[in-house]
Amino acid sequence: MKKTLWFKVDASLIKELGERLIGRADIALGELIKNSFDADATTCRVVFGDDRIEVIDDGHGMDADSFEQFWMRVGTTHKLQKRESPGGRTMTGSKGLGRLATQFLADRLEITTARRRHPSLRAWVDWRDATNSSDLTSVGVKIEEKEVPNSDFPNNSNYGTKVTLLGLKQTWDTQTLETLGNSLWQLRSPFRQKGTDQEGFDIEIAASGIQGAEEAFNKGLERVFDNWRARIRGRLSDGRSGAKASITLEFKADYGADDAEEFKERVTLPVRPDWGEESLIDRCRFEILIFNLSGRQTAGLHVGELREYLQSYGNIGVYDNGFRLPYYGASVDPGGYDWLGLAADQARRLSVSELLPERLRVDGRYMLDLPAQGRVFGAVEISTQWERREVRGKGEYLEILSGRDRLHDNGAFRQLRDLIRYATDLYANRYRQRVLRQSEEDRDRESSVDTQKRALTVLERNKDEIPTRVYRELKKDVESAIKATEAHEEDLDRRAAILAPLASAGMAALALNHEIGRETRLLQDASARLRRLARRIGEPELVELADQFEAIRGRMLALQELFAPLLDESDKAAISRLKVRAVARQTVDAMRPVTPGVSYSTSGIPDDLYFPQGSFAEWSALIQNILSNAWNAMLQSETRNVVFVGGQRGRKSWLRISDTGRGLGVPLEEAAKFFQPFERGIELDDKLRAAALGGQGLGLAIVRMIASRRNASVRFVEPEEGFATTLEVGW
Amino acid sequence: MKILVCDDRGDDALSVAQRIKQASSDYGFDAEVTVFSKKNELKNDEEKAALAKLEASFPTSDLKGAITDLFAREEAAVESNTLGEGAIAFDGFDIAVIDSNLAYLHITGARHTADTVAGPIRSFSTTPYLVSTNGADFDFDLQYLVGDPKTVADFGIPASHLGSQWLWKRTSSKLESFRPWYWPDLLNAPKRRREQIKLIGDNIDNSIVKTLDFPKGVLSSIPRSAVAWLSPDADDPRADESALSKVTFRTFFRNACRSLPRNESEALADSKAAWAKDVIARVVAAELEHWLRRELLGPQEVLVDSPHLISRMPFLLGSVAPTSDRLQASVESSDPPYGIDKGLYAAHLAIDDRQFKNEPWLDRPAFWRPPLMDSGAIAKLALEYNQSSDFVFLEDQSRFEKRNTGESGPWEFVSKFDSAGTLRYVGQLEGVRYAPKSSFSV
Repeated sequence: MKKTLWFKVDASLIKELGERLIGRADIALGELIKNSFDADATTCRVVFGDDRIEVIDDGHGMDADSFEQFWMRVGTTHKLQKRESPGGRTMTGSKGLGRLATQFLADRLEITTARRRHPSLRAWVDWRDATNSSDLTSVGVKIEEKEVPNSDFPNNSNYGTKVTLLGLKQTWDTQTLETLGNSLWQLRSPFRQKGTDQEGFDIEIAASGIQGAEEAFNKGLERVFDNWRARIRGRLSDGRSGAKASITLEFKADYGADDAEEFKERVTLPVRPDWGEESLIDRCRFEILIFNLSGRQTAGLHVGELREYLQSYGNIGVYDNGFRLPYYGASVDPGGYDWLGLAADQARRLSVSELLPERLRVDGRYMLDLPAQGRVFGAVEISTQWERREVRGKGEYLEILSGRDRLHDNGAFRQLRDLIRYATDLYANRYRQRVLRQSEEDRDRESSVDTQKRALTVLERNKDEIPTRVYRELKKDVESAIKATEAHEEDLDRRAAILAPLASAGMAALALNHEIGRETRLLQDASARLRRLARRIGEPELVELADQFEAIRGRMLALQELFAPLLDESDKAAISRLKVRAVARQTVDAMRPVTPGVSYSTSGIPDDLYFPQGSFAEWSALIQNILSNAWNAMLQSETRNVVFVGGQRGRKSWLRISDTGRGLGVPLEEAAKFFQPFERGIELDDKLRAAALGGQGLGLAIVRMIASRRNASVRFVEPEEGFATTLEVGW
Repeated sequence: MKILVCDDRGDDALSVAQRIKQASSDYGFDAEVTVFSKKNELKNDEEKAALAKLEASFPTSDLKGAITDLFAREEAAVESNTLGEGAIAFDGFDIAVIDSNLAYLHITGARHTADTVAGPIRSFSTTPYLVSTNGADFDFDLQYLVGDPKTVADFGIPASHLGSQWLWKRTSSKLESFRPWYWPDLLNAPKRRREQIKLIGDNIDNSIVKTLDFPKGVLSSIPRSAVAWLSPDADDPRADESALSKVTFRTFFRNACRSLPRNESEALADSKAAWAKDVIARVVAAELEHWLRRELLGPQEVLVDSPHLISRMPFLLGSVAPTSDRLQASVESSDPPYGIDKGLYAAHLAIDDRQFKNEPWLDRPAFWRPPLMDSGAIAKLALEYNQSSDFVFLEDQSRFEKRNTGESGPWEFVSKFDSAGTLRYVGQLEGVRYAPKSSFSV
């Protein structure tokens, strides 16, 4: 004969389970508050009284059936299976262990609950009976249906649940209450309380010993949100389908650099391949505020207050479905406090991130700017419920441990940690970049004289520590350097005073050039009409007039060619090596209208001679300036010839441009000075000045500037036979 | 032909309108010119006098009002999926000539140019062909050989050329020296465009390359840049030729159209309204013709027209030595064998897979080059050819000229097409602006 035998579970196991799994009062109480959240309550009030704690909510309550089916069943997984509460909230609890944990707080438990369209219910549990019984099934829960006064639930709600813990196991004095309060206030993500997606769930604590403490906590929170200097926000959605996480980094003005700035970055999970090849996280978002704990804060907050607040409540926490996992970011456990390894990396003076890609490299040891936990305030929000469903029973996911305070340290968790660290490292990296850029800008702004004067101040300050003789000598040297620099800066100022208007004139010339186009079209119309008129009335003079108009138009069009290289993107781009002969020919054609009567020859340039890499605009400007110079030199010459000759020997190439002007007027060895700005070799009388091109003493300086930028040299050489001057461009 | 001139400045509008009118009388074509210009908010006497002069010569309407109505129609189409009742001012012309700078209109928002209105005019009016003027500061485009390469209109040139005979009547225009080969035949362009629109309307969800009868063998020769122009998906390096074959007129409109912003083309591609199909057909017709001109014919690699074919394969003239007259027949002739030896034409070119069925897409005969290059018979002809040809084709003058190594040209230049054999020639005429200059020096 066969018969069935049943395991009997010793009732002391309940105590064991409750205390071992959830071993902290704040966590135990937190579990009850989560139950209120799952019941769609808007308020959960925790009231500390004489030897009792009440947790009261205005949620939808329980009827006798659901009480028996769910509350009475330990280890029920209905919250795992059920995605959302009736009110649409993502359920937070998982295995129904919360109620067991209450025995950690008190000997007895009384529940009053009212559900719509159902009789109210009252139940009592005496844990002492349970643990004294021989097995689990004999633990009795007394239950009765009874009317409950409305005022029992917050917001005058007719429905809700009140859990009363009686026979407290510990004494709640001001200090322990404060600690508990802090923990409960932080139970919800601060960003959900302050941000755009508030869920309308308040946790109130009523206790005579800590009156005003919650208000102080909330006020501090307000100020935290007013005083951040940098903010990191990140979001991952559909990570398991391969979507990238997005990170936005904001810097306020005057933090690292003058301007406010925003960076955006996208990163594929896993950040590093150590924890799998694919993302083990589907959804997560985070927000981290970074503070500057020195200097003035806004809203009248004293820096000391901010520091104190952040020390108590700062760091980066992890929130599962909006409820904090107490392990992360709390100072109770060093591993949890530095769960991101920020302090560890600072301690080992890590200089470059192990996670950021090469393209984000900046000079300097930027990881030293990693923010310490004491100046950050952040929340990483995940949903272990969601992740569990998304993984569909296969592989690792963000999984909460039974202790309800932390996640399983698996690949998914490590991927999460890497993602947050990528974001913090990105902050350090961009912060350093801002600082470097700002210091460059400041250096640009600071004149050399100011820098030297600062050196003098330092010298004065440390006078007593330097031997007198050395001090005097140093001071003398620095002072004479200041004088020399002042003279040099004055000279630069003088040049800039001319260069700026010239550059403006250049830009105006480009605009004018565009307008010439319109004028030439009108001239074209006018000459065409003249011709038609001439045909109709048979007047040959009108034809002549039309010809003149056409000639003017032709000259205007040709003049436009001087500017053409500056108007075309391809001509401005230095992407290849250009043929010298073709550039010379185009430039000569453009110069012809402004250099009438000059005979040009470019046939001496081999067809396969190429300039060094540079843009057409650059080489054309170089030749234009040389030709303008030659033109000015030839104004008084009877013959006006310019000849280009190019050549190559071994790896050396050159272009020589010779003219029949008046020559250099100085020995060849002194001719280098003509490449200095504002050096004019040719003094023209007033009659000729009108015909001259340029004449500011900048043309050859520009020639040298372009040449040296393109690794070429320029110099005057012995004139070719039959010519007065020969200039050589060599490369 | 009904031509609309749009220019915010009255004097410029008059100049353009007169130029076109004069061309019509000089070259014997019918042109009914209407002008849209700035008629309200005139600031000074000069503007008022220019308008009075314009109104005295041409029927003139307010350009700002016309553009405002056009934008309202565009908004209704995209936001509410309705086209609105009746015609708008831009409807009913054959060609619209639009000045590139419309800043004087003072329409709220971004400064308007020919390019900001060309897309909406093309999409939401019945005017099929758009020319933008003065968008680029040059006369001859050495870069892509299409005109103003940035314009959204069908063709962009300086307004000064609108009176050119070559633009309106190609035949017998030997009097002008500046005759760019890439200029379109404007007189026939609207008719061709309407045929294109009809063809697309009948095949909107069919494959583009199949509808246009591309021989299968040429698909692999189409450069990636050209494929990407048609569809970003087909440009995927992992995609094979079939990806190109899958691009339909509608998917091209949705994914790659340049006339409308992406959100608008997506909304319209999904619309079930009958008018939306017309919008798609009008936009795709214009952009597809541009694609053929610039990406396939421009490089003369996938498609090749007769003068370039003759330049590269002078043996197609037969056994006689090439002369400029014989070569020129490939430019002037619009009927087979297009200046090519009759027998050779019949044997090697008058074959289905080698001839591009150009009507209504191109205004000149063209041939598929890849099958010609693969042909053993053509290779044999090349080997047996013993004449030397020193002639090069001048792109700026549409004529052949002897190659010269001296200082008088023809001048070689390199266009931006990413293919081999990009060396081309121009004669470089005085008073004509060629850009970019660096094309001569590469």
